[in-house]
Amino acid sequence: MSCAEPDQTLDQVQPGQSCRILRLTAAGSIRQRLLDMGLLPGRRIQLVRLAPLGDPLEVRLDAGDSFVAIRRQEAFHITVTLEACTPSR
Amino acid sequence: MHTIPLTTARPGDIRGGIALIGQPNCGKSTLFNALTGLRQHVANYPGVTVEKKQGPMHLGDRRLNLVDLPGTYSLTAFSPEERVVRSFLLDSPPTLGIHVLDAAQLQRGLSLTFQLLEMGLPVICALNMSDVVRRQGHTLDPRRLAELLGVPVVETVGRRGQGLDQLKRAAISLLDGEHRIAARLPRYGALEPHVRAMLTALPGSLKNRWMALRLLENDPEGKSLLLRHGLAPTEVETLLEDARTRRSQFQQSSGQDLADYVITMRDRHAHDITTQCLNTDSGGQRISWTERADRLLLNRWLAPVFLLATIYVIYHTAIVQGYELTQYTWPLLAGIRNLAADWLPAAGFLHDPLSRSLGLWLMDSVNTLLNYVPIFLILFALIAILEDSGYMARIAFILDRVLHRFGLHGQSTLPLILGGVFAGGCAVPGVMATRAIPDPRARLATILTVPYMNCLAKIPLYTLLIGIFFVDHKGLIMFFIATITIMVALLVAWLLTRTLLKPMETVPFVMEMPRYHLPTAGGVMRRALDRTWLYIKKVGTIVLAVAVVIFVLLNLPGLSAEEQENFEQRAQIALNQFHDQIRDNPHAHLFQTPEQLMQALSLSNAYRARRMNLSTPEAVQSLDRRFEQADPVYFSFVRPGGGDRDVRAINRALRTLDQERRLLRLEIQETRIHNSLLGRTGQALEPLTRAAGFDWKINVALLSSFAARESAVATLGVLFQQEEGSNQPLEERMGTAMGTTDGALVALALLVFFAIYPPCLATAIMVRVQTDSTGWMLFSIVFPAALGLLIASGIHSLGQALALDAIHMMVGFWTLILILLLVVGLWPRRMVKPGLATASPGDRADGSP
Ligand SMILES: Nc1nc2c(ncn2[C@@H]2O[C@H](COP(=O)(O)OP(=O)(O)OP(=O)(O)O)[C@@H](O)[C@H]2O)c(=O)[nH]1
Ligand SMILES: [Mg+2]
Repeated sequence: MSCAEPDQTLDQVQPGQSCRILRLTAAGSIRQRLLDMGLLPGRRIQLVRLAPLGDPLEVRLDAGDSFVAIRRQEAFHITVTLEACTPSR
Repeated sequence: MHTIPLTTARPGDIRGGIALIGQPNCGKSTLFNALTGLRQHVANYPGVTVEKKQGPMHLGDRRLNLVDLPGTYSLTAFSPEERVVRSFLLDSPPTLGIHVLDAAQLQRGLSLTFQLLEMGLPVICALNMSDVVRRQGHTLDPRRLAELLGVPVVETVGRRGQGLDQLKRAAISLLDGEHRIAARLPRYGALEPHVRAMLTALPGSLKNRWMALRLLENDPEGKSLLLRHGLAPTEVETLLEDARTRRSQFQQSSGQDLADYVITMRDRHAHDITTQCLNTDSGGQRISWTERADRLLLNRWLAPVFLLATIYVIYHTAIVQGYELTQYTWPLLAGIRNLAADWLPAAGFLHDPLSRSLGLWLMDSVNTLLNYVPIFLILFALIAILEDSGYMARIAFILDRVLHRFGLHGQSTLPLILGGVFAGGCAVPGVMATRAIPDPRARLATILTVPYMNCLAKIPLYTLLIGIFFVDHKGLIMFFIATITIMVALLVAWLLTRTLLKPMETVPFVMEMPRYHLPTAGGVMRRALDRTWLYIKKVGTIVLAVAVVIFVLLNLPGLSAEEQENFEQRAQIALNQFHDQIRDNPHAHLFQTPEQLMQALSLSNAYRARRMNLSTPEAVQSLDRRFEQADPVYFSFVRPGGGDRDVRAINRALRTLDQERRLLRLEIQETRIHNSLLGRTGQALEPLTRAAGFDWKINVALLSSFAARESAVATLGVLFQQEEGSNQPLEERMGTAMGTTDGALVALALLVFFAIYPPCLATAIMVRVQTDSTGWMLFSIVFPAALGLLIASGIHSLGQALALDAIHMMVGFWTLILILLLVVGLWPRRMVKPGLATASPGDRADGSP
């Protein structure tokens, strides 16, 4: 993926890529659950790997020690922008 | 700065309680166990504790109630755990909260800390897992953290019991009033004025910032909360209306969603605090041990290999080796039974005293269950190791795709394994373990499909039928059984979630991947023992009680007077024959009275029963010596071979008599069962089960196996029975009784029916407990029975109509199920994208800077 199309949903990100969360497009309990697990707008996350069958995905939060598994269906609700596309802060 | 007074607790006060609060898997239950000395389940798996548990804890001279709460990330009311924690904290606030923080995930945990402080709860932070932080090469400054939060902070390592004394001391000094909490709460910028305004309007018991914020955030349970705390409905309406106007006012002026804003502000504050007290040693670029392990274990190509290897190891160690172990434990149980047989009132020639037959019946029921204890100990210990190491969560990650497709959940794996996916398990702990599944619909689907697994109690019947009909295809049939059950279970789960369960609520799959831990020996043993104990309790209570009921149902009303007389006559003829045979024998005087005769017959039976368990000549010799000492006179006639001509003649005559007696007793028992209530039910059901090829005897066995599956074989044993101590194996007896023409086909139908058969009574009760609904319990019984009968009838009738043999039918059926499974599993699915329908990205503003 290139920066030509910077905004995408988390399920389109490739393993190994890092990105920043722009917004969540879910409502209700899904949204709350994502927020609770630390998937907040502004957070940096890295897609670590896919499960052997391609779903769910495993992401790492803030380059830290928290790893979260999430289904593609839910990952679709997370709009991100690839790290390479944002000027580093 | 926000000071929280501590009013209720005085020295010697025992009313107040202390609550352990924290995110899932941060070590609350571990601390709870360490502080109370109780045994609460601990596992490296989020969501283990679901209900709150309490126990007494000593703090100096105080005795306080410590409550272990389920793990929560926040205090909204979206999940059941959150609701439990929230209503506990609001409705019966503890004197003190111990907030357990996973030190390695400080930033995320702090957001809950803020909410607790905003609630006005006096809090001590236990900075748990501090060993993990240290191992990662980071340093955390607990004193700085205490300053920034304004509450006492204690570093702990729950697993090793470190920091407990400091934790207790901190609690005591708070309770004594030596130390006061001066919490520093996050500020909410532009929202502050609204928070303050709401605060003034709130009633006393809810006058705190947390409640004000929740109302502004439009809490779904806000209204009922306010009503519960004594506000009049009109007041509640004004308050909610006020919150509503303020919310839209704020959202309009700031262009942000209020709830998002609050979360972001808390997160930012948490981030500030974390950066100030955490010293990352190398810019956080070190790769953790867990991640290294996962690169291998979750590698796309290697993951299935490791998974299969793990399952194979479990199967091999627990089931194969466990069965080896039962070879040593079984003689023990059989010995106890023999002792009981000696101790109970003696057998009669035709009829036994009730206490004897009931006693032995109960003994047999219990023994068949206790026989599995070694297997369960090993199995549950291995599963505990999987859970505690963190690999169980990886299994859920690997398998979620498949299980989700059929309406289950990645976390259904543990219940299915406990239930016995391949062979061996028990549905009771299996159904219990469904608690950890966060998704209500997948959870119910799992509860309803766990009983399809091959619990250990199904194995004896499988073995029996294989031994009779499929000796040449043993491996093939075992493979068939192991695979067909999981395939049918998946299809049933799919069917149910598509139909009956469709309207149920589902929860997204967002699962924390826990760090790998080295399991502790104590924790693993405790879990294995607890789960095995649960199983033994089932034996001790339900199975015993039901065994009595089944006994009654199998024996009442008994023989008619006519039948009774007929049997008596035949017995008399046999006795006369015996006396005729030994008339001229010099030892004849030893066998004149009925008592003498019974002594010889009982001795013969007792000897045979013991002899059966022995294999070495030495053991036989020592048994002979023991019997000879106990009864030298009669044993010489009972012992096979040996003695002079006269003794041998008596031995022969005794054997004939014994055989005749056994035959008679068998006929009596069969007649009695035929007349019995259960027998009549079995006969009444024959028209229904004819298509499946089940005669009334099989029906009776199936009915009685509802009590506990293991009793199917026991009842079949009785129905195709010989007298006690008989050594003709059940296989042979059934083989001859069922005939061979389409016996194998019936056996196949029976195998399949038994695989799908409803849960045993103990499991049904557990289903009732876990679903909290009698309706679902009944459904869990009726549905599999109907489905099983349907399939069994299909197999039997089709096989007969097409003149196919059992093996062909089996392969055909298996292929059909596999095709169905593949169709359902691989059918292209439309990606559901509800997000677009519910919220357009534009109006949901984000909080990124
Ligand atoms: N390294 C380390 N491991 C710990 C510590 N405390 C607990 N554990 C382990 O962490 C895992 C989770 O512990 P639990 O006590 O079950 O956690 P919990 O908070 O009760 O979890 P839930 O009931 O699921 O909310 C277990 O494997 C414990 O052995 C600690 O201080 N250090
Ligand atoms: Mg717990």
